[in-house]
Order: sequence, then C-alpha cells, then structure tokens
Amino acid sequence: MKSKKSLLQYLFPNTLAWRLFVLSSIAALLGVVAVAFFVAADYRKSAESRLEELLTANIFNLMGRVQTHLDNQLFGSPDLGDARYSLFDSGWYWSIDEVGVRGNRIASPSLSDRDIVVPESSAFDDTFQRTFEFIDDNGQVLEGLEAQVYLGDGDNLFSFKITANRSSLEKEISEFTRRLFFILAVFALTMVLAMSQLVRIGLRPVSKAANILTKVRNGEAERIDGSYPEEIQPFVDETNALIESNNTIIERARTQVGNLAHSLKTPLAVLQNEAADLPKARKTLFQEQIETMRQQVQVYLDRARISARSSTAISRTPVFGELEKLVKVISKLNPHLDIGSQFDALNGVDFSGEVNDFQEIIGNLLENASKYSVGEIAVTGRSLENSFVIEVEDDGEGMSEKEIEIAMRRGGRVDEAKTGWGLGLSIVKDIVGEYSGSFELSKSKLGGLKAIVTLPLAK
Amino acid sequence: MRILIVEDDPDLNRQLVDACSDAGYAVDKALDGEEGHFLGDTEPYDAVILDIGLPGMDGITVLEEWRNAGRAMPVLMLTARDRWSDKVAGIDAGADDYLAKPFHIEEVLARLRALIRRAAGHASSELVNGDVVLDTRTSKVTLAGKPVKLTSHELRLLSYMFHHPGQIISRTELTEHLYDQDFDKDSNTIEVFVGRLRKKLGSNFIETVRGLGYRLQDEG
Repeated sequence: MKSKKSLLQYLFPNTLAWRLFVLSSIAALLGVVAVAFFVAADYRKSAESRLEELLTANIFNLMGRVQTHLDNQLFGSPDLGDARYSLFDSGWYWSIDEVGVRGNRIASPSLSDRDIVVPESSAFDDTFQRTFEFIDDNGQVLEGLEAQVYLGDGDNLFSFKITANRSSLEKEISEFTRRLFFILAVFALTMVLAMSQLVRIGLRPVSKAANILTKVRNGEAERIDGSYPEEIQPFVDETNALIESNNTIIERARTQVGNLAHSLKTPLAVLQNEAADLPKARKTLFQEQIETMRQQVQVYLDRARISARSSTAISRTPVFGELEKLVKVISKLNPHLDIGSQFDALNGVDFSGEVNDFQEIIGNLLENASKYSVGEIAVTGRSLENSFVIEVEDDGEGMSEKEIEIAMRRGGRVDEAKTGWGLGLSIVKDIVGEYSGSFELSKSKLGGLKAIVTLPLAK
Repeated sequence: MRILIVEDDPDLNRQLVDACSDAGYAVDKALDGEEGHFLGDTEPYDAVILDIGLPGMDGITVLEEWRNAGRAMPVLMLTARDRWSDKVAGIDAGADDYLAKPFHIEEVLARLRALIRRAAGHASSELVNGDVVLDTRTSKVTLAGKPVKLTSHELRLLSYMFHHPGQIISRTELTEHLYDQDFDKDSNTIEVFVGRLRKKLGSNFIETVRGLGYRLQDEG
C-alpha cells in the first residue's frame, strides 16, 4: 500500500543522508554556541581583570604622586596620562581625602568637587583595599577601588579612590562578542554546507550499491560487484548471498516444475497408447482429455521457461557454433535432405540472449522446414549494426498469405493435423518477441516457406 | 529384425514391447540403464528404442558408451524433455532419431522402420527383390502383385534378408536377429523357415552358400 507523503515527511524525509546531515548540523551548531558562550565569558572575565589591574596600577600611581605638607595638607598634581580623568563626567574619576577631615582633598578634574560614595557593604581586605560598584550622578555604572594609606609622618589616614567607567568595558565586550558571533556564524554556515556535501560524498557507496541493486532487479546485472567500505560490505555481501539463494530457490522451483511436467509425460504416453484399443467413442474421449493434459503440461513448461529468462541476467550466445550444431542435428535426423548453409557472416557474432532460446528459435524453424521440404533447405545469415538476421527456407509447398496471417496470429496453428507444426512457429514468435526481435514469413525462392528472424546482437 | 527397448516405466515398456512384437520384431526389453547398456553391448540388435531418463545409468550415458565401444546400431531416443538443448544433447551422444513423449505408438513404429531402412541404405519403405515386394509399413509381402501369407518368424527372416541383400548371412546371425534373448535358440529351425519361404516365394529365391549360410539374390 502506498500512502501519500505528508508535508512532514516531505520536509523531513526518512533518509540516511538527511539524518546524518541534520544530526551533524545540530551537533555543529551546539558546539558553535557553546564555544561562543565560553569565549565570550572568558573575554569578559579577562577584560574585567584587566580593568581591575588598571585601577590598581593607577591607584599606586596616585599614591606615588601626592605628598603632605607638615600640616598634613595634601599637595601634588597627579597626572595619570589618561585624558579621560580630565574630562568632566567621564566616569573615570579619582579622589584623595584625609579620612575624617573635610577639605583636605585632591580630585580629578572629571570628578571636581563631587564625592565618590563607597557603599557601606563593601569591606576592606587585609591590604586595606576594597573594590566597589558606584553609580554616578549621570547614572553611569562605575567600577571603583579604594585604598587607605597613612601619609606623612604616618598618623594621618588618607583614602585613595579611583573609578573606571564600565560602559567602555561593556562596549568593548559587546564589540568583541559581536565580532565573535559573526565569525562563528560564518564558521557554522560553512560547516553545515560542508556537512551536506560530506554526507553526500560519504554515502556515495550506498547509492552506488542501491543503483546496482536496481539493475539486478531489472535483470541488467547478476550481483553487486565491486568493493565497498567496511560498514556497507556486510550488506553487499548479504545481499549477494540473498540474490544467490533466491536464484537457487527459483532454479530449484523451476526444475521441480519441469520435472513434474516431464514426469507426467510418460504416464500420458502410456494412457494414449492404451486408449488406442478402446471402443471408438471412449477412445475419442480419452484422447481429447490426454491432449488437454499434454497442452497444460506444455503451457507450464513454457511458463517456467519464460520466467527463467526474465529472472536471469544478460547472457551471450555464439551464433555460428550453435547454428552449425543445429544444422548437424537436422541433417542427421533428415539424411535425405540437402541443407545449404550460408552463414559464415555470423562467425564471431554473439546473440544477446540465452543459448536455450536461440536453439529453440532456430531448431523449430529448421524442424518446420525439414517437415515440409521435399529435398532442399537453405539456411543463410548476415549481421547488421545492432542485430543479425537468419533465414530458413524450404522447397515444400509453402503457405498462402492467408495461412501466413493465421500462423502469425497469437497461438495460431495452421495445420492441426501435423502435431507441433504451428506450435513450433508460435514458440518461435513468442521467444523472438521476448527479445524484441522480429519474425516474418514469406515465400522462398526455393518454392516453399521462408522464415526470417532478426535478433539482437551482443556488443 | 531384432530390437531392444530400454524404458523404465513398466507400462510404457510393455506397450512398446507389445506393439513392436505385433509389428513383427523380435524384442528384448530392459527396465533400467545398466541392463539396457549390457544387452546393447553384447547382443546384435538391428535397432534400439532408448529412453533418456533412466534410473541408474541415464540414456545419454548408455548411448555414449555404446558409441565409444563401436556399437553402430540405429537408436531412437525417447524423452519427456523436448527442448532443443535436449535434442542437441541426444544427437551429439549418437542418437539417430528423437521422439518426445507423449507419442503415438504408430509414430514410434514408423520412426523405427525408417531407421532400420536407412541403416540398410534403403530410401523407400517398400523393399523390392525381383517379383517379391515387402512393404515395411504394413509388413505385407506380395509375389508378382499377389499377397503371400507369412508367419511372424518367416516374415522376420525375410525382412532381415531383404535389409541385407547380396550378403551371405550365417545361420547364427539369422538366429541372433530372429529371436529375442529368452527364446530357446535352435538353428535347425532356421532351415525349416528357409524351406517354407522357398515354397511360398520360389525355390531360387534364397540361395544356400554351402558351409557359410544363406544369400538373397540382389535383384533390387
């Protein structure tokens, strides 16, 4: 039963290639996202620690650049060599205050007379330093560091505070992340495209095997030949074994059908002969029934023969040798006949088909000719580009156009009296038809019938 | 004329034996390949009807062995298989004619007659010697156009001599070809038959060659 493909099945076909492609793409994308996440986090961490280091360096710089007078008054004009500390409201501030004393202070121009307020919650470490976060008047988030040291003769505690504007850090980080994501997106896209091609190339042996398998089914190949990757080879081997065992089973079944049909022929012969002694009415009945059985046996033998052909692959038959053999048989069976053979042109030509079929075609034509001939039969042959032609003629009475027409009709038998006469021609017609060849009957120059058979040539 | 029938089906074998005996032949029979091969190898038959499908030794092998041993008697092959490949195999093995089952007994007899005639070099089914004519199809004998009644043994003797005109035929040879193997062979009876034939067909018809045998005048 063949159901219609749903949209889902259409979008997500159940193919190995699609599965591999989707799964590997998902894996690649997850990998890329994870990489992006870790790299971004790592970058942020290192950017933050760089900022902290900068603040620490700057605070030590400040400490080196201020002094106190004897009255503890701060003096000095520290220049950290960073223009951002001079720009008002930049968020990059520093201030130095004596703890507990108002007015004894120096601050960066950017800060002016405003205070850097350290939240009470942040605690000093054992080197009297603490970091904090501070939001200035403009709402800018600042990273701050405070260190308290004694200056001068050492009794007066001073608080050094310095801040850096996080917005530049955030800007830097987001800039980096943006670049990172772009690069990774390009990478991921390349990966997906490469994956689709890799899957295609990687699965090529599978489609190759599938193509040959189709050929096997169509009778164009006998087995899957060639070597395949380790993963597929077992399937190929098993398929070949299956094909072989299938052929064996078919062969066996065919042999059994053949044997059964043939084994019926002897009892039929016995019955036929025994019936000869019966009273006329019963004899006719017996003979009619026997003839029906004989025809049935023949039908099944013919079927077995035809199915034999469609299941086996291409074969080739040397025409010249087989023709010679058949002519020899006919001349032995009919020593009184003069058989003229002119088929040297077929030397080296191969029939694209089975030897049994060739024998059946030509044998029946020769037998037919020998039955009707009064003394002479001619067999001629020639080869064409893709086919070859064999003509069998006799010097008998021949057939009228009407008789030829009847004979060429399916199952047509002209002369019922002579057993096997028309049947022979009908077998020839059937087999030639199976090979897409042509079969014609016409008048021979010898006076009798001329049968012309055209069959495909094996390249 | 003495023939051998090798057919494994007992009924068909019996029918063939009956029909051939009725037709005037001395008939031996075998029901398998080995027995058939032995008989054909040791007895002088004028023709053999040989089935291809035999138990034990198949017909093709039997025939090949006969031919390899130089046995040249005409052989009519019977077979259930009527494909041309089977025919080619049969003829290749040395068969002289071929008949596919099922067949009419008359067809077998006709083929048999033709084979024996052909082996003797005759083309026509009527054998003529002077005024005497033997129609091999009907086994009827006429002398100057008038029918002559013969017993089956007389007919066999006459037929054998007709198939070998001009040849000196010993009494032993005649005995071998007139009787089947089960017959109690007594060569003296040959003289009786020759005497009767001379009475019916003319005293000079069969010539006695002293110490050697008999000869039919070759007037065909």
